[in-house]
Amino acid sequence: MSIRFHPRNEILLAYATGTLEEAASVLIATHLALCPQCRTAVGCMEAVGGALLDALPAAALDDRNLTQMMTRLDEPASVPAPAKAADDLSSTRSPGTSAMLPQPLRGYVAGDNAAHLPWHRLMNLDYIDLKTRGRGRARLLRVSPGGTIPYHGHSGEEFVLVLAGGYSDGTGAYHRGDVASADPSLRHAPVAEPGEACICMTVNYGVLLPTRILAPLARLFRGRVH
Amino acid sequence: MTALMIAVAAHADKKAFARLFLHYGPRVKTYLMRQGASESNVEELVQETFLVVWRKAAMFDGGKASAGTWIFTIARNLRIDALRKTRRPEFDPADPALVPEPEPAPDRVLEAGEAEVRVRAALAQLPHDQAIALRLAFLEDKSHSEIAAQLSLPLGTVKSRLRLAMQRVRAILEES
Repeated sequence: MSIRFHPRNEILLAYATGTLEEAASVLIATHLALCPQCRTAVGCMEAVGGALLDALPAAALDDRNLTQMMTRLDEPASVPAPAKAADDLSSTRSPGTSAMLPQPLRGYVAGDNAAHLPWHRLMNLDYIDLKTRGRGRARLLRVSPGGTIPYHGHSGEEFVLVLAGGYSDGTGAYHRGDVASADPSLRHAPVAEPGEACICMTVNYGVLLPTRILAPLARLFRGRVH
Repeated sequence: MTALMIAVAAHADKKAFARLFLHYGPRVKTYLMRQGASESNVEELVQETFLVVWRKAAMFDGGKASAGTWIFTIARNLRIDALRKTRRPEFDPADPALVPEPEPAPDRVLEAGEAEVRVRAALAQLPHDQAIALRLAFLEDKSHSEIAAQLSLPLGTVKSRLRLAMQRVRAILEES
């Protein structure tokens, strides 16, 4: 199925210029592995970066630098080159199955097959927290086929990248490779599609807010405490 | 310059590498200084950048990127690691999970050299305010809201200038 929902252009641009935080960058880079169209867009942005670099004024760099540089070329690399993708895949994986996690996400979890990861359970959800630096919180979420996430809002921006299965909310139906972006105005109760567990990577800036009956109660409660 | 990079990629040509260093080294130094590198370690970072250019040369694809673009991405990644102390997550072109490009129609493939000329032409034609926004975004490690603050503009205006600028560059790149 081809990808229907892409990250906003400004997010791709922040990734290309290098200002996007690590958590969102993992999500965008993983989307890029699944989306040739956005790879082309980022490639075009990087070409702008290249042209702007070329047009920069040259800083003073004396001849000593070139001499040093040339002698360093034969230095052994201090850090071994990263393992080729094909080498770090376990033999248990069936190639091309929808459970397969692309890079760079695979490097953030303990394995390449989503079925065998160390999931934690919270109500009807399984989750894994990903270690990233910066403000954003990155997680993997797994919802059983047909499962629902209770109606909620967000106190900050949220990005969701679907990796397996699919889900729907009022804004659309999302499948592998699709990126849903939510701002604080969105309230939704996503429902996983039947047939296959829905696995997503999520990045949140802020917290989830329970709504409906809980939210007014929460507000009322906060009002009295003040 | 792209021909020099191809020579480095194809047969580890040290003379070609030296010429690339002489042209791009001073520009990478300017880039890293603007990104916040200190005078005391910027030359070390320039050398680190070119050490990666040398070691990863085999991955350079002259059909996809120009030498300038390739060196820009390496310098950008290095300064994220070195100056921000955070990681730069990237997809792996050799990942079996990667969804490949559909085969492009032959008349739509632009040589990197041609693409480079077109990107430069597109940048030269941009309205001044769009060009400024692009330069701040790419060269000064500024988020869109920091650019808005610096130019005393609403965030939405900065975002739309950047969007329009990129649209124009893409349109010129995709012209047949």
